[in-house]
Amino acid sequence: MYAKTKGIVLYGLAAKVVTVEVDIARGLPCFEIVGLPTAAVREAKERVRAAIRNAGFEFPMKRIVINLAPADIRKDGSGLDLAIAMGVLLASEAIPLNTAKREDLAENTIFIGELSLEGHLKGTTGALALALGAREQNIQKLYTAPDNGTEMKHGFGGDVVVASSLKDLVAMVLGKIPEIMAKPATEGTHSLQRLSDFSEVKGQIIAKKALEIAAAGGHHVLLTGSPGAGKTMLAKAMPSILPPLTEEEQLSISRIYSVAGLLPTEGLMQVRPFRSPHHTITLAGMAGGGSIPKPGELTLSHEGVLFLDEAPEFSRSVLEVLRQPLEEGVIHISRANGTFSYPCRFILLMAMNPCPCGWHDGGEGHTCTCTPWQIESYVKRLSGPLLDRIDMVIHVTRPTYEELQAVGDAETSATIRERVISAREIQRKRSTALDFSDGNRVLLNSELSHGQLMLACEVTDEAQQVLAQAFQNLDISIRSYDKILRVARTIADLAGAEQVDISHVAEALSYRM
Amino acid sequence: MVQATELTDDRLILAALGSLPGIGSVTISEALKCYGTPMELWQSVEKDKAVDDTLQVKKQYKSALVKGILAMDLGKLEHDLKHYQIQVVGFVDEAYPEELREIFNPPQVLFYRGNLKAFKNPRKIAMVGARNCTPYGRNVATVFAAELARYGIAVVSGGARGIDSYAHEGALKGHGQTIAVMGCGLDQSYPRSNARLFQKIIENDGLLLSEYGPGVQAKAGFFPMRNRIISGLSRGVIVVEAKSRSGSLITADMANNEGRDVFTVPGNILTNEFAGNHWLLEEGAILLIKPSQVPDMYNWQCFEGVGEEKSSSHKGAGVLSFSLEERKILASLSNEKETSLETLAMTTKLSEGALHLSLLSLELKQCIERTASKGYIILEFGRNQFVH
Repeated sequence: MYAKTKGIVLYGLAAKVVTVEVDIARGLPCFEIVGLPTAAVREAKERVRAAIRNAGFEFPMKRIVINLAPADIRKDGSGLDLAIAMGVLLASEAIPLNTAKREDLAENTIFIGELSLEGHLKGTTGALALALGAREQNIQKLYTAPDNGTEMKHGFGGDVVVASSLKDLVAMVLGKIPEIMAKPATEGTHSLQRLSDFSEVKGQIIAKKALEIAAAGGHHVLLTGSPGAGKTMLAKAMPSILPPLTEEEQLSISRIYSVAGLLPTEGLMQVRPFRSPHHTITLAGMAGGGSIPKPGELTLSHEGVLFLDEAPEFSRSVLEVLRQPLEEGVIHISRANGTFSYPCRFILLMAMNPCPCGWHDGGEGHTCTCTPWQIESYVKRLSGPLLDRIDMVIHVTRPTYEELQAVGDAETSATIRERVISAREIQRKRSTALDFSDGNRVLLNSELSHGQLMLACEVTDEAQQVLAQAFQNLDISIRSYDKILRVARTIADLAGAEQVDISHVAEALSYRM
Repeated sequence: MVQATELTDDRLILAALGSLPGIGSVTISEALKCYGTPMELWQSVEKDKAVDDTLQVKKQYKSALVKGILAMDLGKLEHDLKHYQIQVVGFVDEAYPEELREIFNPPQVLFYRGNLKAFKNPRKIAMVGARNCTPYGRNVATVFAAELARYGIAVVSGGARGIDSYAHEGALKGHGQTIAVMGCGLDQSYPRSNARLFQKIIENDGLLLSEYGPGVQAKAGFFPMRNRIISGLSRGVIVVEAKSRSGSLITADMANNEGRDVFTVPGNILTNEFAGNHWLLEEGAILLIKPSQVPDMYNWQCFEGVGEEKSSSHKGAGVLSFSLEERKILASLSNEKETSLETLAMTTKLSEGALHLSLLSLELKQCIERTASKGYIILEFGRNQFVH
């Protein structure tokens, strides 16, 4: 007796539909799974056997062979349990269905879920990504665990049926009890993650303005300053001034978070990610690891902020892995199974002390005890190529007592965000007008190439003169020249100015290395 | 006597003698007393594979001398000297600086790059101080060195980071000669960040000087030895910035023992940064409050040419002045410590645009500088070029 069902597995950030073929034949009782299963899939045998028995069905004492097709990709995860169990039940004719119904189940339906020995259904990670994969394959119906229902519904247009146990699920398939449809989460139920607000940061006018520029133009930033100056606090407030996510962005970030198992239970990601990995992070943790790599911090920061506190303490290889993603917005990970490309376009914020002891710029009552050599080797831990990708350096100084005591008048993040949004709108219009495109995405000022920058920047004669002078007198390299122009362009956009004038250039120069 | 220009065999042997590892100037001088010329010493040792028994040095130095001479690769040395344009001068040469002959344990062999005329300039003043210096010390070094250069004084220093570098830079800004005495071979730049400064010193009639042959790496132990040359070359030593236990105090001590004058400037008495300066003052060093005190003391007149240039440059300065915003910024900045952008924005109350613009313009006029920690300090030398 033969039966066929469909399951789905994660393959990087994408999902692949897997056909589960079950053949039950006479012979010595055995249960074999073929078709490149990983350990987790192979262990499904025991779960399926126990779950079928405990759901009140008879487990056939025959020779059972399961084939997972296509046979050349590795199948990982526990989500195939349900598809295997249903296949066994169909093949052993424990579920009496006519041929048309069987055909329909085999072609247009996907079963996703992990089984407990008792026969209960449990959710799996990556449900949203799986649902999106199912949608692309024109599947019409999904059967899954209640845990995954809402998440899957967000990515899947058709029916998502949830059942709490194998027994209920069989009853639903047979039409003995009504099917329970999953519903997407309603807007109101999102508990918005509490973000720190810029109005809570006292003083730091210059640093705040600089972060506003970074948010508007997507510039990468290095924050320096003595311990306790407020670098971390400023960085944490950064997401609050970034523009809200579009629906498309929400879905693409949620897919990543779903695969990583980090999606909030209420529904899609509503706020831009802010990732701040500890400096002990490994290369695999940063870039993504595993034989089918799980997204790393770089990918988890997509469309958001990656904050590296104490940047020189990160291991050299971890810092160097940032280079290509910063340039391309994508990280390519090659494994024996194939090459996986994960999106990772983020604003990089790095924070560091000026020297190992932290007091090189002389906080009140502190003197630096580091030798020049120590300072040099500390600063050198950030390699030249990495610093080349940093557009702005902001020095954060400790606020004075007066600044701490100052009441009111600090701008809220909402106000700053308005300006950032309108500056981005100007950039969008310009990049559409000048036909700069990367797919259908808008290029931010920080992403413009040298040629595009020259087209986008109309510099006044006066400003041109200052730039020429600065180029000679202030030791500015050609690369930093471009960076200064990019930042100046964003400053002009924030000011709503068409041309880049002398004051914009002067301000941009103050953020140079 | 031989002219110290072309690399004859005599010169090469002299250079080789100066580059022997583990051999100091005392051994060389004793050996030369015994043998006469470097060439005779060299040839005799090469032939006998031993030194004369009458040589008055310890056994270990004798064996080091023989070993060194036999192991020396003259071809490589010759190549290095030519490649890096290093020249050599010996104690008996005419070109050897007179002042240095007077000191205890003078170097027998000196390597140099640049213009030998700086040696013959009788007006030589050393400036020494901390490597990790304050903006105040930095300003003093630059302004004083530039002003001394006007009197045709060659500023001698150690080519290290901090005060040394600023003293050399100041002398260059004042269009004067400057001599950097290094603690390593002249084929290297130590610290490497000063490579450009050293190049500029050579280009501007200055001199790089070292007791060590090509290929010798800088070592902590070499620096006090180098200091005896710095003080030995000069009429006086200005200690710009010295902590309570500073290498500059060793230089001052050597200067004092050799009969050189020790000058020092006062600093902040509440911090440790200038404790060495104040200790020297207590011990009787000459209190220096303006650069002209130094030439006045030795009756060195301002060169006529230079003097005229000074008055004309002042006339020229009449047109250079600061805008209102720039003056506001200068008033809130200090030549002693860094002021952050944040504080400047608070105190000057200038609009963001005006603040950045004026800061940039001051920076381009070289009146202020943005330090590594992104604070701003006044550069007195730059500011003095303007009327305000």
